[in-house]
Amino acid sequence: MAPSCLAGLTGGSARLLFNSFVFIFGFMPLVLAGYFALGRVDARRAALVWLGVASLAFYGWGDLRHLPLLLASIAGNFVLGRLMSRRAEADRPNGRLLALGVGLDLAVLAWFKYADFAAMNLASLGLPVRPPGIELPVGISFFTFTQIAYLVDCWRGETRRYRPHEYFLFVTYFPHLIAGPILLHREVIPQFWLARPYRFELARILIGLTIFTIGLFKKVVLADGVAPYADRLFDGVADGADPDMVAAWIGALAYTMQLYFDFSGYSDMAVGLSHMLGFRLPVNFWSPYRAGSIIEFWRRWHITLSRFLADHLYRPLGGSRRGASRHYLNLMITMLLGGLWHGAGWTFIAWGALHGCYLSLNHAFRRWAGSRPAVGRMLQHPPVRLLATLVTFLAVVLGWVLFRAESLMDAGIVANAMVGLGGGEKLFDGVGRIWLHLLPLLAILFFAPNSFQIMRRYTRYRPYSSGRTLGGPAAAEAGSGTGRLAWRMTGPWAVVTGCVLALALLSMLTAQSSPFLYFQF
Amino acid sequence: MLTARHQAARFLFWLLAAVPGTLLALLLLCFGIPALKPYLYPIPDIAWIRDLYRHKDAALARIPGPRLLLVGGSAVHFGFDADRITTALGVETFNYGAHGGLDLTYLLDRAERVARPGDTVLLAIEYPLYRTPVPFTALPVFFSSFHDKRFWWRMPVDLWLDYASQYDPRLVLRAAADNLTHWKRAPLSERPGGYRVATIDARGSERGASRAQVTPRMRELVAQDRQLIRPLDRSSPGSRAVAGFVRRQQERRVAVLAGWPPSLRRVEYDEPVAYRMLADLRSFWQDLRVPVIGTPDRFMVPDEAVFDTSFHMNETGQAMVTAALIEALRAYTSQAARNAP
Repeated sequence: MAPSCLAGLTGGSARLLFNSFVFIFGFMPLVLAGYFALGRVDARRAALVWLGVASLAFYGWGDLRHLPLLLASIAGNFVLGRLMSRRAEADRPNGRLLALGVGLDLAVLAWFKYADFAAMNLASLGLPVRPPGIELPVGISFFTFTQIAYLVDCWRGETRRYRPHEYFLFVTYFPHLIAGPILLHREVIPQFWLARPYRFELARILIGLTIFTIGLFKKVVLADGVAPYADRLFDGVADGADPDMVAAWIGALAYTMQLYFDFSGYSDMAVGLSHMLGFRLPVNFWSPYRAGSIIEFWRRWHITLSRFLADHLYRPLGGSRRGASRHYLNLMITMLLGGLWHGAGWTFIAWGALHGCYLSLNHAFRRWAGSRPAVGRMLQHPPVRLLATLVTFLAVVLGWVLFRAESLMDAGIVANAMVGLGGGEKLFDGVGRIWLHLLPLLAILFFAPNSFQIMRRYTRYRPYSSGRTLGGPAAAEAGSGTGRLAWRMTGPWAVVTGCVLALALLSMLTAQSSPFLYFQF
Repeated sequence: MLTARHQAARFLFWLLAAVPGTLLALLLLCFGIPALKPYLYPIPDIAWIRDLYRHKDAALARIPGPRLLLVGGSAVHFGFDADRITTALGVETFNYGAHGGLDLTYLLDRAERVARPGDTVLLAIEYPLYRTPVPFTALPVFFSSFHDKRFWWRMPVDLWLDYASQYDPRLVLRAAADNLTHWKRAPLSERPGGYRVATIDARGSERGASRAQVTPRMRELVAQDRQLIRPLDRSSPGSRAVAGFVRRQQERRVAVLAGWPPSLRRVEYDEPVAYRMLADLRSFWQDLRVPVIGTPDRFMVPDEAVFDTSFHMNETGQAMVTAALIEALRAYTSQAARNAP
């Protein structure tokens, strides 16, 4: 077994992680150096190919088994996309090609992600089926969805003729390859054609490094710091514990924070890395726990997935255009499949169903309130808004209990314990200390500006606004350009950034690199 | 007015200065200010461990050799009555058990320091110690930083990084939080815990774990103390530490015997994985050419014989497992005498 710090030096698990010393002090500087060296001699195509090769190395690091699948998927989708684009230009129908491409993508995804789950369920019904025991290729959900979105745009005739290396890099681009954000070709590939990304600009690299540092800190200090509390609760329940109310709330809140800091930390690192390379990735999180409703939550949480589901599932199903009942049904279908996308398990399906219900209820309330101006005015009052935020947060926490639990029964045990109906087993010692740890993090969730608000003076990252998420247009919070906590390229901020980086590096050294939670999805 | 490039260069300079500066400041904060040390790792056991080793090292130095040293974690400390073994077998026996949280690398290093050529070391190691994923957890690192710096210099070079990796700022923050919430009782590491050195006798055995002291809360904790049993991983840091220790002792003519840790007889030990783990252990010792003394079930006791954890015996349990060890050692010595040329 690898010693803890050596695990960090070699990437912890076999996979190369952003939060490993090998990545930060080896892979990343090497990629940047090669990229800017090629950019300096104006070899842009070579620079893109270099990034593509680096991305393949990143994906295949320590485990080459799934590399052929990734390459085959890229090749197949590119060829089909080309065919469709050509036929679309000639005004020829290409629906069958789209069905073939999407069908193949989904079939591959279904085989690798859901075959075991389906077989286990069939076996539990008494059928003579044995789970095939397939290992899930990392990032398959992300690169499959990215390419499905591309095929749909080819079918719509909204793509341009991209060169193979451009498409290859768009899919494999290492900052987003294994845990998103889910990219659209039109927001990434045109950036490859600009001259500026290839120029070495120290200021840009430092801004990207700062965003990366914030993400790293969120992951290794904040998320990994509370992970033991969540593990203690959910693993304990899986082992037969019946927790008391305090333990249930500590574990549930810890997981709520862990998931956010982990995934948004990863997204920040991806954006920061990309910023260093001169490319902009879409924002994936915008202070989601500050949402005043579930609709707003889905404008702020995993925005690129919400956008994908809205564009490619919810709206094709009819969205809100076919009456209230159909609207709610569409939301339910979308969220059920969204839940299933996260993982092959009944807990994920139940989580999707719960959010489908939440969204339907929220939309029903809005319909009702829409015809009552007094209610609308009341909702704008700060105390009511505060209450709405709290209720939304509690609803989301309940959802995460389902999401994290090993089984529906375990989720039920935790939920019961949260309302005081648990078995009363104390799982934590030093509860006061744990709350002292959790409360500042809760304060960060609700009151601190997010990474992009902190960086607003130098770079304008905004949530996706030209499309729609499941909650409508993505969040564009008022006041994102004001406030005192705005990073500047000055000495004091350099010291602050350095301290944050040092603490993050120290935390990496002192703990085994833990994979990002969203790798498993 | 600075140009953008100069501004960026200046920023980079301060950033690069701030990273080592922060690390240095933390290091100074943690280890440069002696008065702060007790606040850093606030578990009450740390003072007990310090005093326990002081007491045992002093007591052991007075015992003439050759000696039988009983080595392990707190299962050994609470389990075996060295005085009784000495009387029964006529061998100078000393209980050198300490605290399982110190991990095998540290526990065995302490044993190595006191064992002399001609001595016999009997290892009765708690099962979880074999599967610790790191050579050091925070306890031995913080303990040795405060009270046993000699360990730093004795450590093999390849373990330095592991050792350093346990200086966790989160622990320091946790310690700060602890002291903040319990400021009236600070410094916490000096706070008396449940154990006292005054109850350790001249041969290192515990005399303070009486059955009358066992509270319902202790019983409850023991019941909750489920054991996670895994097959033995010979590449684990714990196993490697044992193998290295045995090799070095054999080279310096210190005999090593393998025993079994005193433990509550839990249902987990009836599971197939437990049988496999115990069989793995036997074969592990066999490959190291270390004789195994007794059988594990002879060192497993009923509920009423344990103190506050599954591995801590009360006076009843101590008498039971000590008798088992005497019997096993007698069987071993008579067997060895029969096999002698």
